[in-house]
Amino acid sequence: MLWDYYVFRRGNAVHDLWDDLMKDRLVDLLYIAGRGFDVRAQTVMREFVTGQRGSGRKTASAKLLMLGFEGYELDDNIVKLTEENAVALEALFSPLGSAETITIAVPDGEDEASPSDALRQRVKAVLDEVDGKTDIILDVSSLPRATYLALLTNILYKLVPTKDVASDKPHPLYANGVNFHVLVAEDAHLDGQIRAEDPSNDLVMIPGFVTAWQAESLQDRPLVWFPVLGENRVNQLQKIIDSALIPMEAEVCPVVPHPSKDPRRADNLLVEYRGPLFDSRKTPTSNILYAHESHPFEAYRQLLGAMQRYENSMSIMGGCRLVMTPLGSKLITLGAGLACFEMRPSDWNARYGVTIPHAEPRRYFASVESLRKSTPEISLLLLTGQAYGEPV
Amino acid sequence: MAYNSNPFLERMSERTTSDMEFVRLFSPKILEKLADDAFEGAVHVFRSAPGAGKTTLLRAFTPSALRAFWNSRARPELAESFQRLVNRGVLTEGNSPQLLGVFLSCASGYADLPSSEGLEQEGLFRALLDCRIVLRTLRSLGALLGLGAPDQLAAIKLNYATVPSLQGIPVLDTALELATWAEEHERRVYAQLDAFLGPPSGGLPAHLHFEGVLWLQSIQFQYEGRAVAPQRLLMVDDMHKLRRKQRAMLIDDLTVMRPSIPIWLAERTVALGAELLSQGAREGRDLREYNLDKMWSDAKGLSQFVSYAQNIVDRRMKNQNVVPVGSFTQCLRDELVSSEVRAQLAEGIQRFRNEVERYQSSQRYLQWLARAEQYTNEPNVESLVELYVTRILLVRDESKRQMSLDLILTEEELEDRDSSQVRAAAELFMHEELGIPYYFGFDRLCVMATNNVEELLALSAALYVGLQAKQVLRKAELILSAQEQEKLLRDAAGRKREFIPKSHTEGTRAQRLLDSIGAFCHDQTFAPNAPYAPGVTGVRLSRTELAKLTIPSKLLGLAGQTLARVLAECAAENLLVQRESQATGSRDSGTVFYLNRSLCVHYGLPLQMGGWRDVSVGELMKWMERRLTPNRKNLEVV
Repeated sequence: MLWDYYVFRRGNAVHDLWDDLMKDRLVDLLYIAGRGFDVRAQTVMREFVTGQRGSGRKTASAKLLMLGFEGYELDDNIVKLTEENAVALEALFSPLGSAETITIAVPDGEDEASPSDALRQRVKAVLDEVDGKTDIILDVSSLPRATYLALLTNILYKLVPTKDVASDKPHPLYANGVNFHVLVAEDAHLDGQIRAEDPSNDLVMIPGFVTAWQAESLQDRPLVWFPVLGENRVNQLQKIIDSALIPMEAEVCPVVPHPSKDPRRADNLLVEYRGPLFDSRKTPTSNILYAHESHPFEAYRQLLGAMQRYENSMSIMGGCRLVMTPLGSKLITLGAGLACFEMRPSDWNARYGVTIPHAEPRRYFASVESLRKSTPEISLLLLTGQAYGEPV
Repeated sequence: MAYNSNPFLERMSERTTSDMEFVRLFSPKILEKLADDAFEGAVHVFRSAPGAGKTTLLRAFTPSALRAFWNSRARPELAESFQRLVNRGVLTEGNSPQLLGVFLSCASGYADLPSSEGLEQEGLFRALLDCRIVLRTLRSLGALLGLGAPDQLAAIKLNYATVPSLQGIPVLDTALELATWAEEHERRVYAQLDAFLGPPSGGLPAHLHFEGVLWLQSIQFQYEGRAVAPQRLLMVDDMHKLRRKQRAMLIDDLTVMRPSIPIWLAERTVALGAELLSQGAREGRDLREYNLDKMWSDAKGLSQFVSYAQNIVDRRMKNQNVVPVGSFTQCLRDELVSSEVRAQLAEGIQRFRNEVERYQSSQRYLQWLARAEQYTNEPNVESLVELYVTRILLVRDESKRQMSLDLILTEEELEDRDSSQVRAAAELFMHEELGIPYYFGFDRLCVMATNNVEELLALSAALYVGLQAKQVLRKAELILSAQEQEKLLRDAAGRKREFIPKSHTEGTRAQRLLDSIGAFCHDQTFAPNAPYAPGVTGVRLSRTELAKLTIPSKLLGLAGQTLARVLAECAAENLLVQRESQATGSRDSGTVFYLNRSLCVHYGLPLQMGGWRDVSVGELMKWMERRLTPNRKNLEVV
């Protein structure tokens, strides 16, 4: 397990960590955020910039990459909030460095880029900026799920090209000393109020996890599906099922958040998803996995362990396909992303594969007032860098 | 412990479901509707809304399914399927299946290939499709011959005597070698696409033609010294998943190629986009198009669909053991029992008496009212229908009557003016005003399914839940009454309507538009004189109005484009059913958009097609943005 030991902080402990990590060294920073309507991104950035401008911290260079998103149906007041948010983020970051917005080119003759292709272009644009940085910060608060998973896994793939731990080499997560921070501003109450509707008919494939879903040569392999359940997302799960690529004989292992602040949350989710998972399919209730609601590394361990066990068992049948559908809260989703990254085979001829299909909603409903009033708690996952050991 | 699933919700068309399960549930009646020339060498395009049975039809011709049909030929419940396949020349009594059906899906990521300039992208698309055709052909061949392990493909020799020179597909001796090449070729392509950290290493293949089809139609297979699989059929499903350019290129290239084997392409009608709204179909000798939705909508289509539907639901019912009944249709009461609606009947009679009070003083209606009075003394459903018919005809006569001689209307005149449409309107009025069940019975269930198998199964699933509940509560009779059926079906229809924004790309606008059309139709239907009996269930755009949407122009701007998109998606997803209306002396031709029949249940409308009203594009645009609400009070005579 790569993150046998991990670094995870919440609330004020995040600042303590930053103080320890960033003091007395020159920082070449890449800050990645979404150009969206979620004003929680401002909270996160404000806290970071304030800290980085404090004494003992030196910034050699800093760049804010804002990822723009098109094709969403939003109310006028949300569109206005998006513009205000973008301006505010740029203003907040300006003391440290410049900002750049990434937009996606549409191929000729099409109305819009395919979602997977658009995502690939965004990820490539970010990866092109990674070289030479000492600290990379990914703020997932303002990014759509598929985007932050793609960035998380592909930045890790770039920083951690091999996952083998050897006693005579630095730990793979040392990553040449590059610190990869993932920030989450979570407000469960607000998240429950943001409604996502009109899921796209085209599934988004996370770059790097496409083969197991699409390769004809793997279609006959048994499939194990891990839908990570979240409120009000049955329609997105139904889109995955409607794609007809989850066969009836697939092993289905729903992942529910437990323990959770609401002890009934897992039960309520199972009731909500009863139709597609239990009424339509013979999913055994003994397959249900429980992952900590707000501890991503616990979710990572649960899911990774399950994936490894299935991969091991099914190797005698020639291999398998492991499918993860991320519909849960951000922290669980990050944990699931880490598990998928670790399970991703490094050999293209491997007998198993991991894939993450997702049906992105095209319409969001949110109350501007609720967004403005939100007081999120910041969490930080430090995934690579100095905390994982000095060179041998 | 497995959860007991609803047998009507399990999707059986996916290719990795058990073949025995598939053939057991497969209804052979769909084969009757297959065109006679569907097995000729040409490109055949099958289109429909989701759930009409395209994938099920294609899967029936895959080797493993054909073998399952052939192995089960002696079983009585599968004999019909086997015989129909023999009639089509696909199976024979003596020999095992000889037709090599190669099934591929376009859902496997062609649309996600990185966008790049013209030929490079096209070449990669062709190369990927080609190696998949080769791989799937060889694996299907193994299934056709009943080979167990993939290694046994080494026993199949490849003969290239009649194969033209191909650039992208190597000449290898055995099926195993070629299958291994195809697997590695595809995996290498995906490994490069998945890596994408730097520019591609230049190893991505590009083909100039669809060589896979050329290979498939001419390669010869030898197994144990004899030629095998002489008949070939290439089936490509989910064409709507391709990018517009890829789809157009595939259809055009294949058509130009003039294949000597049948190539079946299946897609959802959503692939046509706004073209769906245009009239006319492109067809020719080498390109043939079939719409599965329309197959059931001709004159004898409905009765054939009922028979087909019965076959499907009964097979599903036999596939479960929670509710111990043999036939699903036997569980649905088809008639309304008067004793179950006694209170409503009494109320209906009293209501009639109150409403015809004002006609008592008129000599003209003396005989009609006397006739009606007899029925008021017999409180049963049939009598109440007569009363409502009388009421409608009274209102109609009153509204049309001119200042002329007040002649007495005879009973014969009432009977002349009576018709099945008026009776149907009367039943609907009884439902609306008194709550007397209307949406029940197997025939009406089939109509509600709007000729779509998936919808039929979804509605049947709702009824099955009712049967399950009765079983759990140990009810003596496992039969759903009319009231019970109506409640379950209305709930299912409500859920369908609620789910629209959650499951369609333009779902929110579509829901608003459909709600508005429903409200409009409701107001037109329940005018007291039932002018469009049995009711209005659709709106029509005349040719002129439709041209505003389909002919590119800036006249309507973004809103017009959005409406075209929403209408096209609704039509493609079977939320609206398109029918052409011919020109007459007084009006232009046009297209009628009928509401999905399940949605008619939600809006309280009749299930028969027929009644529609003209609307303008401007009105639809307004309704799409701002929901029209029904005017349920003081409906006026129209």
